[in-house]
Amino acid sequence: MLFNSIDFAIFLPIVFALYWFVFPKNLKMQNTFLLVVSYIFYGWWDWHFLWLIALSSMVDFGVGLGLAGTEDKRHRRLLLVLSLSVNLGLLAYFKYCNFFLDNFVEAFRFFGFSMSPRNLEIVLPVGISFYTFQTLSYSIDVYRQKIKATRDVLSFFAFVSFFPQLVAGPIERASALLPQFHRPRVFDHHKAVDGMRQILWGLFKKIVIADNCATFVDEIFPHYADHTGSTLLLAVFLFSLQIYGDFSGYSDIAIGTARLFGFDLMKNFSFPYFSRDIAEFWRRWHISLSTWFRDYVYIPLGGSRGSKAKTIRNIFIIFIVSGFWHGANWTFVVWGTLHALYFLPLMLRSKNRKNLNVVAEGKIFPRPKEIGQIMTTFALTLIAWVFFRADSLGHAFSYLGQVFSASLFETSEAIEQSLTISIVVLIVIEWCQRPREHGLHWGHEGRYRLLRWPAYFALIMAILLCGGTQHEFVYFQF
Amino acid sequence: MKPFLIKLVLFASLLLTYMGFLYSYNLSVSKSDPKTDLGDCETLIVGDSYLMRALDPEFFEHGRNICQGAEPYILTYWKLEALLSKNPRVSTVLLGLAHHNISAYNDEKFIDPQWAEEMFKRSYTIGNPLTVKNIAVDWRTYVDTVVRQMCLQPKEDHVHYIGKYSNSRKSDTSDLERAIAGHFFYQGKNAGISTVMGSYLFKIIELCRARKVKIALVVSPVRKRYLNAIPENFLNEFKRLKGELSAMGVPLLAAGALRLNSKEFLNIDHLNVFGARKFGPIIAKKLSKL
Repeated sequence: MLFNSIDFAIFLPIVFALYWFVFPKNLKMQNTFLLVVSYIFYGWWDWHFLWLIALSSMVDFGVGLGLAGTEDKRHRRLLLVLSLSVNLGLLAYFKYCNFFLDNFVEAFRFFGFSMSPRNLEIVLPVGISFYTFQTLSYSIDVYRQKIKATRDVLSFFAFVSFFPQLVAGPIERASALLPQFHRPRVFDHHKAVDGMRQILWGLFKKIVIADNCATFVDEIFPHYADHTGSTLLLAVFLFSLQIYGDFSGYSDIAIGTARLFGFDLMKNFSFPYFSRDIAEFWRRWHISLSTWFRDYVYIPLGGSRGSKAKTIRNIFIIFIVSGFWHGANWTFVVWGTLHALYFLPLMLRSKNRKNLNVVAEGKIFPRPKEIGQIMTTFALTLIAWVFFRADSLGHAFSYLGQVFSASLFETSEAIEQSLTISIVVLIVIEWCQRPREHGLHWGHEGRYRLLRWPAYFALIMAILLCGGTQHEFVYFQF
Repeated sequence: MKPFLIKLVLFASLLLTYMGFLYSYNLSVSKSDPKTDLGDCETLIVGDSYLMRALDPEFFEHGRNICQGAEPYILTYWKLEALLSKNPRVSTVLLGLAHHNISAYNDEKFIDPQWAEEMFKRSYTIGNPLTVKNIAVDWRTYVDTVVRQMCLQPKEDHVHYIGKYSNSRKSDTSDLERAIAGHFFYQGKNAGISTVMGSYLFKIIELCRARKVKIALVVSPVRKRYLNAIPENFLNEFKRLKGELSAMGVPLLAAGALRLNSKEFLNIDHLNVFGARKFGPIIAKKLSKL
């Protein structure tokens, strides 16, 4: 079920009403209900893959219990290996099998052996990369004795399959989300109202920005040879907004929806395109994934504590793995590598934690230097986005070659005026709201009270006007 | 919880009131759209692309062609229902009749992704497909179309169902397979006969008679190869239907002895400008004798 569908618009109020009115004081019933509706939510897309979530949940719940029942190091390690094998095994099979097969064949062909294996027709289950990482973090944290294993099977299954963030995150840690399933939940008016606002802002980013940018981008990228460099540059710019609107929009809807049910999910995006360097960008972009890799890959590898060579190795590993997580294609690997290359100079000069505050805090406009930093960082991300969006490395390089040609200085094709206005609205609102949680988060309840409702009406009208063809969320494929 | 629900209901009510206001405004605009005033039109030509190409209104005194491509009889009925009451000068309706008009592929036009949105865009001010029995309707797209056209902004242009005579000098009759597959087959299978289209054909006749408007059915020429390729069930039903219409006293106008060569066809089943120049006067003459 898509967040931007009529199905979800019907599903959410029904679930909300039943959750608060039928089972308001019974935690066990609420958790059972959440589990059932989460499986319905996922099954709406394809019920055949529900067993995967159930299997992943079952294995990690069992591993957790096993870890709680033994102090034997060897035994504990074996249990962790079991969890890693099942979760990463599922991911490897469904997501990377054909990729490895193709590259294996190519490698053999390189050495003169001819092979023609059949490509396996594997359907990638939606959200597998997200829920396997979430459940995996539980087993690792229990293994590290950072959290205690839960004996409440219902809460654990509901934690893994919690519908707002099941298919595209934020990837929650068990330490943050699981206890919320154990605590009685009371309806919080301010939380719910803010949740509704966040849903609205997420829908605006997805339907008005991302889907409309996608129309232009999808036309230009495959036929890049027919367009001028300036148009291609515009397409990359729009893709950067598409991917941001799509994914941060999903996260906003997920976080807002969870708040309606009394849950707090982690912030996943924090206005990343206003970053002054790549390190800041990665503290603001897909935060739940980057911190996951930091905690479960980078730090265990030694982080930046060892020699320079080791630090460089670790940085490359984390960025390449992050790229590979996004998809089984070399383009994602190069995307990750590029970010590693951008990040490395900052890390080696110990400047990676320079910009921890909000840009131009307390001011309306940034300083010229900050503008330069923001533009440079954004330009670097644009180059990397070409690899992210391209079908192959050849495609990406040809595209970039065409961008940096003489035609870059010709007039580009125009985009619709309504899209231009929407983009300006997005940038202005996000800039003004950058110290806050999301685009429509108001610090003080009384702030802009008179302007708020007309603004919400305008956003709803824009969403309804633009909501034509239902586009899937880009991150569903990851 | 109570303040939240009150806020939500209040917000939704205000939003719905605003949308309702826009709906009423747009409805009144659509009803008084000057496009629905057909002026001095006396002979109204309706149907799909067959008559859109074949009958140039120039050949008819005070004639007006409002045909649109792919128009099913349901839509034609709604159009006439909306226009005849507003245009009392219309005394004659010429309606296209062809084998494909009774094909059940027309029933799919309100659910098929290729057609549904277009059909709803044309008809949202004159008819509600959800009320038509025995056809499947993509209700989401329908609701979406109505909301978007009527409830989101004040609009002046709501009448999208009035077409016009349109033609070309081109000729290429190599599209036999496409035409046959598109008209008589749906998803690779014989589409079968549509009872819905048949019933709407009779509803159109009843409507015209009730308003004391003369109605004649016009069969436009197609290439012989096309006729020969039409599946038998459609040929039989068409023959039976023609008999029934004759028995009802509904005139059927056709080219008769007119012989047209392939250069007078736009494609396998539509006339081009040259064909229309020959066909129009014949129909006009036959009509004047009725």
